[in-house]
This record gives sequence, C-alpha cells and structure tokens, in this order.
Amino acid sequence: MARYEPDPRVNFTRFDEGEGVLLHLETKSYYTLNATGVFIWEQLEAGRQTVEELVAALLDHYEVTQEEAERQVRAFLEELEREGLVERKE
Amino acid sequence: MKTIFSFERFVLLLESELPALQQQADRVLRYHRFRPGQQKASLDWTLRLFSAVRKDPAWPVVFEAASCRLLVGASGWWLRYGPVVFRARGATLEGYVPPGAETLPAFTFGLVLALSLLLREKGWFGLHAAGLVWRGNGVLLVGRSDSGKSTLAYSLVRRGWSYLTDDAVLVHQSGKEVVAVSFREDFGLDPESVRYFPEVAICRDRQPTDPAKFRVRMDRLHPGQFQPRCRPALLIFPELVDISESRLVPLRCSEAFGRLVQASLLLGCADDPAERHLLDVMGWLVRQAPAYLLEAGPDLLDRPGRLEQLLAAALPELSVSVHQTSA
Repeated sequence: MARYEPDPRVNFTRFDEGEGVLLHLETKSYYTLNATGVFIWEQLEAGRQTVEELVAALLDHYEVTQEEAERQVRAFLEELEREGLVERKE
Repeated sequence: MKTIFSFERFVLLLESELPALQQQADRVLRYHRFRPGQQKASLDWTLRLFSAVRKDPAWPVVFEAASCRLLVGASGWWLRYGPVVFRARGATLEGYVPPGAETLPAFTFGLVLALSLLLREKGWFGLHAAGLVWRGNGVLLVGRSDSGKSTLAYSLVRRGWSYLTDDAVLVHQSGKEVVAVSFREDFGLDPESVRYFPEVAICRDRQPTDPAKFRVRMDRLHPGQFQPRCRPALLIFPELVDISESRLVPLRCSEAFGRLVQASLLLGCADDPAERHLLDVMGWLVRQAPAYLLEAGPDLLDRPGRLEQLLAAALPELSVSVHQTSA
C-alpha cells in the first residue's frame, strides 16, 4: 500500500481563513491550499499517509460521498507528488 | 584600529589594520544605523577586515545572483560579492578585500548583505519595505526596487508621517508581536522626484547602495520625524499602474504571505533553521496586519493627500480612537 510522505524541505503555513501555503525551501516554489487541501496536508503530517486513511479522515470531517472523497484525495496526492512536495513510498 | 558599534540590542567590534578599510566599513555601518559605543557588556560579533584576495572554497553554493554567491560549509558561510569576500565563523566575520576594492560598490553591498545574514541568524529578517508611522499605526510599503515605495513613502513624510526607512526594514518577533526596525534612515530618491519634491534638489550626494538615486538626508529635511521601530498594523504592496484613480485591493493572507516572502532574504537553504524561522515571522506578520495591493496611479503624486486618504480608510483602529469616549 503506497504511502505519501511530506518532503522535509517543504514548509507549511496555515492561516485563519482556512487556507494555507506550502513553500518548498530549496526551489522556493509556492503553493496555496484551500481548506480541503489544508485538511489533507495536516493529515499527512499527522501520519495518515495512505489513500485509504486520508479518505476515511475526509469522510469523518466533510459531508462527501466515498467516491468524491477518493477522487479528491487521489487528485490532490498526484499534484503534490508531481510538484515534489510529497514522496510516494510503496 | 578598533571601534565598537551598537545597533539596537546588538554590539559589533570592528577591527582592521588598514585605515582605509576601517573608514569605509565605518561609513557603511553608520549608514545602516550602527552607532559608535557599547550599550551592553558582551559582543555579538567581531568584524575583522584584511587587505587580501581569497579564492572560494569547494563548498556547496546555496545562493547565487549576478556577482554575488553564498557558500555554506561545516564551519560557517562564505559570501562573495565581486572581488570582496566575507567569511562567517560563529560570532566572527572576516572580510577579505583586495587592495583598493573598499571603494567599490561591491564592498558596500557585500558588507550590508553579510550584516543582514548575521542579523538573520539572530531572528531579525530583512525586508524590502518602507516603514512609516501615522497616529501610532505602523504601515509597511513592501516591494522590490522600482515599485514606487520610496516615492510614496516620502510623499507621506511630507504630510507629517513619521518614518523608519524607505527600503530597509528588519522584522523580528518581540513577545506576541512582530516588530519592524529601521535598518537605514536616509531615503534614496530618483532625481526625477524633484518635480514633485523640490526640496530634494539640495541633496547632491548619491546613495551608496544605488548611485542612480539621491541620498536624501532625512534628519536635515524632516527633523524629528524618524522613529526607529514600529508595530506594523497595515501591509501595503504597491504596484505602479496607469489608472486615473488609485485604489487598494484587499489581499488574502496567503497572497500577502507569498509577496512578503518574495521581498525577504529567503535563500533556498532547506537545512538552515533560520529559513523556517523567517517563514514563521512572515506568517505572524500577515496575521497581525491586514494586507492590500495598492494599484498606484499618477493621481497619488498629483493629488497630495490621496494616498493618506486611502491608507486611513484601511486602518480600522483609527475610527475607533477618534470616536472613543471614556466610560
């Protein structure tokens, strides 16, 4: 089962409006997260790093269907991996 | 030769065997608000200057731009600016300056950047921003060169605002607040600004860090208006645009944070704990002070008072203090 570990070179800053910012300290690339993105990133930092764990957390917190939660989690993780913000480990 | 300087809470000992080096360093330090004298018993840094040429060590380069490069090794960092080198080891900063190079802009730029790196290690982070104070409210105009912040800041000083600086702010955490400190008192104004500010024409010196600009001796033109520090209550990011009516556009915290980071000394060195501290302080600053994009058109200079009117409307505390009555 694949795990997605946050890259230690990424700094996360959360703001009161529910949004947050990821900043890669080496590339200085900068990404704004919406409330759902912030929620998923905080789950990753808390150690819930598989798609299944993240979908379960999303279902607990938001009123979404299983399919929608899974779609959102997979899309977000793919983007994080593409940008080098998480590392996928099998 | 030895001279002790103080800047805010910090004390620096300057040592050099060559009077020319000592004098140039003295000039740069004073320009950045280091004053002769020791305000506490212990030294924070010793700066030793040598007339020498040095080759760069085989250390990883963590930052490189134009004629500047920063290398980091196990024992400290190595900053090259053109022919001039500064090497930091703990609390000691050694400067290696080839004969005659102390008069080059590279010496000034290198020394200022080296000082900024030393301050950064203490949690004081440089920011390209003008600092102003109006009725107790700190306002930072944040942006790179040519964003108009010096001209806008000077127009407010003429209307009676207090000032910290036009471009060199240091921000640091003090208790639960972020405080901004002036790192340079004199302004640098484009010669064309004489059109709007005729009194600037008497300033014949050029700014050491940007010879294209007049060095405006603020203590002579606007005595009593300097403030060394403030608590920022408003962040303004000016952008010059060709519109008839300038306006403020509210920025989300994430947008303001990104703009602050771009205006700061973020090196891109993931292993450096100061990098994360810098981001923490910028995050706190964004939470402390609402942020706006200022779409700045020519009306701000053509109509004195327009900028003040815009900024006053963005400072909610002001209306409270005006109408407040005792219980």
